[in-house]
Amino acid sequence: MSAWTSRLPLKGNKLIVQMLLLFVIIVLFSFLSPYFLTVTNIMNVLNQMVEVGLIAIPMTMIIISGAMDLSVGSILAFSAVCMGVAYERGLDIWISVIIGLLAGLLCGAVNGYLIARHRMQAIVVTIGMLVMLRGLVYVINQGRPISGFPDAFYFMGQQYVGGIPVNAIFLVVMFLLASFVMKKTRFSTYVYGIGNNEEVVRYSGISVVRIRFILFMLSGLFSALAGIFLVSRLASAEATSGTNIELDVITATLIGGTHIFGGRGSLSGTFVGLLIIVFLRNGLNLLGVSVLYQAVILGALLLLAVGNKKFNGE
Amino acid sequence: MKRLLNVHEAPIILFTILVTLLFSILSPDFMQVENIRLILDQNITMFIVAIGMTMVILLGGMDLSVGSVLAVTATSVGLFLSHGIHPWIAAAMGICIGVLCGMVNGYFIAVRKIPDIIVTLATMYIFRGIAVGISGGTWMTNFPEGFRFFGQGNLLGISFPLFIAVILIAIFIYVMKFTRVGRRVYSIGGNGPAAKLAGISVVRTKFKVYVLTGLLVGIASVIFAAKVGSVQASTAGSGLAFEVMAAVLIGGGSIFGGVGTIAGTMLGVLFMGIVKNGLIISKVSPFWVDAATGFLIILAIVINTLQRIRQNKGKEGDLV
Repeated sequence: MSAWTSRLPLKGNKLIVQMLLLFVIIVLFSFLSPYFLTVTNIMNVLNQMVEVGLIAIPMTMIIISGAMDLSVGSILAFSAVCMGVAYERGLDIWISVIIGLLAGLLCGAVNGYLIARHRMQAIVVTIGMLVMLRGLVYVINQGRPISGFPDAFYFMGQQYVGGIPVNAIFLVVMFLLASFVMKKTRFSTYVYGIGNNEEVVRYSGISVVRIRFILFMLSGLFSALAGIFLVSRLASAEATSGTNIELDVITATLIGGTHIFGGRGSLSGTFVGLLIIVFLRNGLNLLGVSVLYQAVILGALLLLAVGNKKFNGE
Repeated sequence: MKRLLNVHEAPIILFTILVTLLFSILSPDFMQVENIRLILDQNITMFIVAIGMTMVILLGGMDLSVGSVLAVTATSVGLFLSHGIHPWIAAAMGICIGVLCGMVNGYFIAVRKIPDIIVTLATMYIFRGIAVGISGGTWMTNFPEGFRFFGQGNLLGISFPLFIAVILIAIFIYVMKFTRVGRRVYSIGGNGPAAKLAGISVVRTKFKVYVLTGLLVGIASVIFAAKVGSVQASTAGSGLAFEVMAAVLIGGGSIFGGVGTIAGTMLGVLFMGIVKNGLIISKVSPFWVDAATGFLIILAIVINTLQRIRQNKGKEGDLV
């Protein structure tokens, strides 16, 4: 594998290589499956990529800042179920949505409080949250799915505007917005700075604690948002939703050229990485490959992406 | 003995006693000899896996893939048995597969120098997929009588798994305390660059530790398969990595590496076992058990950080 990976010209323009990989995947699958390159299927892919995509935005920022958030899948399920339970108790659907978002924000705040304020290891704290929230989800709804939401709510996940899914449009807008933030604002400079050299940022009089806190809050909020879009798309809030989503998100981010040790990366790269992941998954689905084998392939891709970067970085 | 109580194990011993007292008040069934034996027996897999995880965490690393390695090994042992291979040979081959998985992890982490969290996250999914693939998604059951000895047999008055676990724990406590390999692990975790300058091969030691972890998980999974009597590839050992990691951290291991003992970890496993058993025996909803585990992980990291702050109090400057 090393001989092959070393020949990839990743040290040049990363984005071009990623585009090439995406192109290869699309061409390959369009040969393998006649359904792959149809408008319906592509719209389907766009519809399905929203959850992973939404979480990938803050994940990119967090990895750039040199940390990692493994609890996103559980936060997603937690806020989805919170929303579902709130709606079942007779609250208005949009108030339930806000409750779901607040639940995610709260989880993010707990992560941020422990990691930023008390400087605990991000990985361990988020693993703890992953296990604990998943347990709490089962406690809250006893493991049964919640469904029966009003039609107005399904607008977010199932409707099309001009032939394009609403949630995909929302995702692209969020990506553009976040990309603007990560390119043009002071906040982004601080994030990149923390990833490169936290000490220097602190000695420059910038509150590292606050930046990190904001990042984890964002992660919680976007995970909650993803949870709500997922419920809207599948029309049911389940305790198992979002399991293993962190593999997709982290793989998309790392394939997109974000450096695992922080300090480097871009949202445009993540977006291409995201497209690679979703088209790959969709193609494998069309070929009838089981979800667990897909995990094997994604895992291998993850190793390849990181190993390759390392190889070229030295 | 004094030194033991002095530094690391003191908080966990205290916690264990407190929790034990709490549960004995909550439920009269808790402080029975039968129940205590049950707690020990149920957590044999965790005891054995935790030895390996302690070494990995001592290096400053992390191994999320142990649960999936367990699934791969247990499933392949089941497959070997269903092809009529002798139980002892099947067990040995299973352990070899565990070692192989450890070598894969070790290769990518030590030789290719990819961060351990990424490697083991990836191999966690890869091994799980392989396990499901080779099992064909079905339950592995109907193990022959000879195989069940590994999980349910008796030797010298105590159960065979417990016997194995005690031997392994004794060996590894000795290895970590009195041999060169063990001290190298501590020195790399304590200060990697210094260890390297002192002439220790970081790559080789890391590789060895991951292979040893694979070996231990292999042994644990043979016991697991024989004890449970049926293995489902998609769920066997899921969440094991998180629980074992929590046990190591609760037992006084530091996530930053270089600090921790096997004995402390074993107390951590015992603590987790007591909490889980106590929750069930005092008739709390089983859904709470997972939530409690997660809470314990966070508690562990809190204790860990507090300890680190206390240790660094006298030193100049800030913690990072």
